Amino acid sequence: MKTRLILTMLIIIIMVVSCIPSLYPLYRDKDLLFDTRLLGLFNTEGNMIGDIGGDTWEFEKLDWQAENKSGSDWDKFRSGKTYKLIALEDGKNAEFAVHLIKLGKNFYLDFFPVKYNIEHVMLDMQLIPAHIFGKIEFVDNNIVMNWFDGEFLTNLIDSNKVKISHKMLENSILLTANTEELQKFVRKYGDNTRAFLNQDPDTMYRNKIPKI
Amino acid sequence: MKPRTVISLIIMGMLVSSCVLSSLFPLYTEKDLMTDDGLIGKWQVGEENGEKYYWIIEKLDTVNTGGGFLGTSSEWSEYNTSKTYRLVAVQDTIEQEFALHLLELDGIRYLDLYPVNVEVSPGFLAWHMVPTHIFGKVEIYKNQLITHFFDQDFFVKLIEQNKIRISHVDMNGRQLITAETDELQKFANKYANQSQAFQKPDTLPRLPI
Repeated sequence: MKTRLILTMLIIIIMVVSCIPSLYPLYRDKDLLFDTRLLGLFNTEGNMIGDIGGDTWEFEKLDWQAENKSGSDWDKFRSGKTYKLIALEDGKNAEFAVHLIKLGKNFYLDFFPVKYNIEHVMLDMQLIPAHIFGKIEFVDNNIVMNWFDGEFLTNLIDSNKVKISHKMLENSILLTANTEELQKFVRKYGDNTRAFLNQDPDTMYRNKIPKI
Repeated sequence: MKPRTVISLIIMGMLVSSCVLSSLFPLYTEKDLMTDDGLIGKWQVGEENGEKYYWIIEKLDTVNTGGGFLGTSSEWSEYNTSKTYRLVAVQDTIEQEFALHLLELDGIRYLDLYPVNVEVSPGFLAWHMVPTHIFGKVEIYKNQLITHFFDQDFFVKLIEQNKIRISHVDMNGRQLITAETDELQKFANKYANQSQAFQKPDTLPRLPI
């Protein structure tokens, strides 16, 4: 139990240290694509419908007008090419605006939290949601996410190999570069395997329909 | 908005509404910091069903700032000026730590709050969340604290009317100032005496420990 707890905490620490939040999105509206392969329900375990274990991602096409009837959280996402992602993890839901773009020969997803719950109200007030982006591959019916590695980027900056606007936070680096600068960086390092987290990419398996 | 959130907002007062101005950088530089041990103690920020919601403020012990995972230093080890206060905001059964710094600009006292040792779940959401500073004027009395936090709506109006130019980003309706400390201080000095620049003052009575 103790080993499992330590491993879990280590994984959390690695995740916190490694991700790269960004104040600006990776996309401009004119870059956006919409691919139906992304629609549907995915999970981390490859289970059947009705037997969902682990975490799930459910993508649907955003209907911002319908969403506006229950609040204005989605009001700014009117491109017509926005996905609404409902992510379920550890029994908790959060909703993200997701955008798909292609830079060079690679596809990328940009995630931005829209509806979520942080219980401590004062903390909620002091945490601002930011963008995260990663390279996506469509493999069979599944999706594979490759996340940019904060440590790799920090090393590039420290060794003056790349100049990109940023701020160092306690546990991570925050990109403050504008979209143009972000896209330049992504185009340059999108095919460099070392630019991505040095671990298995996250595979989200499309939920299978059980045979009757 | 969920009823629970509404209740919490009422309880925690204007301070915890989403209209407080947030900043990527602190309002202080080390030379601006001061101490006033009148801050130390337990302060009531609200009440629900007889249960008090409160802040505990203490001077940060810069010698014993460890306590992180596997003996590593916690985020408190970043604060070594000996002018940092540790604020624990207790809301029902949950607590959150903040670094509190007291500073003076043009003879006016301000406090700057920044979350420390943040844990957010689910983990994927945590990747996206960026901690920010909030700040406001503060009056310290023997039995009460009065805080006046800068108001986001006032800031938005200034921007819309082209009355100020200060680096900021709109994060889906939440304004984040990205200007560095010297620019923030100019902003604070300029509007320090305009009551509409601040939210309604919050009065926090002292509680017995």
